[in-house]
Amino acid sequence: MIKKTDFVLLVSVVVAALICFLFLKGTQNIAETQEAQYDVIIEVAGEEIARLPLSENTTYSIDQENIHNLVIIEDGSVYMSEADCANQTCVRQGKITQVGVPIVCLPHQVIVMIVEGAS
Amino acid sequence: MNIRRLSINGLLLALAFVFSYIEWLLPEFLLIPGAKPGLANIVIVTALYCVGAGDALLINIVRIVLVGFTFGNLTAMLFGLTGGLLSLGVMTLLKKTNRFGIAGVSIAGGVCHNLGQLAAAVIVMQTTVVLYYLPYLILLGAAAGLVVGLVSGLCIKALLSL
Repeated sequence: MIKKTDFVLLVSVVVAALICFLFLKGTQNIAETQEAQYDVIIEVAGEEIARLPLSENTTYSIDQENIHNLVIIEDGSVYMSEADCANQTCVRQGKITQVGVPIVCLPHQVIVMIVEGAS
Repeated sequence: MNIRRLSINGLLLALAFVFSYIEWLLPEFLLIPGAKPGLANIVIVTALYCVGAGDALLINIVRIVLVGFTFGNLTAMLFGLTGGLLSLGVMTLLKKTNRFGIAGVSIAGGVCHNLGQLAAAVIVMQTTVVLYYLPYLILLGAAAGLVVGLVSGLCIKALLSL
């Protein structure tokens, strides 16, 4: 049932994951580079539907056909406060404050992320 | 298809469907979109060893389509198909090499399932931001695959001694 090669496989998979961690640690803390302007991008099914400044406290409601998501920008952080999907993973994720860490609502194909602004 | 094969495949399909339902009831407690333990794969791995790759493929496709129509939507079905087909394809190849045990085959299957789903997410959502979850999904896929493999190993042993 378990062979020696299985351990080799498991170790190589774990090593591969660790390498991915190193490559993808492109996340930035906003606090470290406050000078730059940051935007919040909201995408639905690959299409950007809104770009809002992170510095302004706002509420953005996504209402399309069968989906409803409520995004709240508050004191330099973003969170999904409502979603009428089954799993609620995006709501329970809580606040994001870093570039590179997205909030994903998979059932609605909604992505909310922080990016460096154009200015 | 003879009656024995038909009834065994029917049983396995029903079991896989029930596992998918139980999993649908579970929340994504790790807060990673799409991360699930893959209970139905216990049936698929067992099928791969007990009834062969062809029937395992048949059971898996019918399961994903049925579960998609019952609990999910077309997108969920697409995610399931890309993950399920890549996973079963890789597991079939690894099993054929005869170099790996059930645990190893299942670990590879778990990882490939997540890779397939992530690829589908990149295509459907037209973004690479979701790759942020890649290392987490690889590790979780390996862990889930290991557990699924060990449980399947026990099932296979019991079934083949019948």
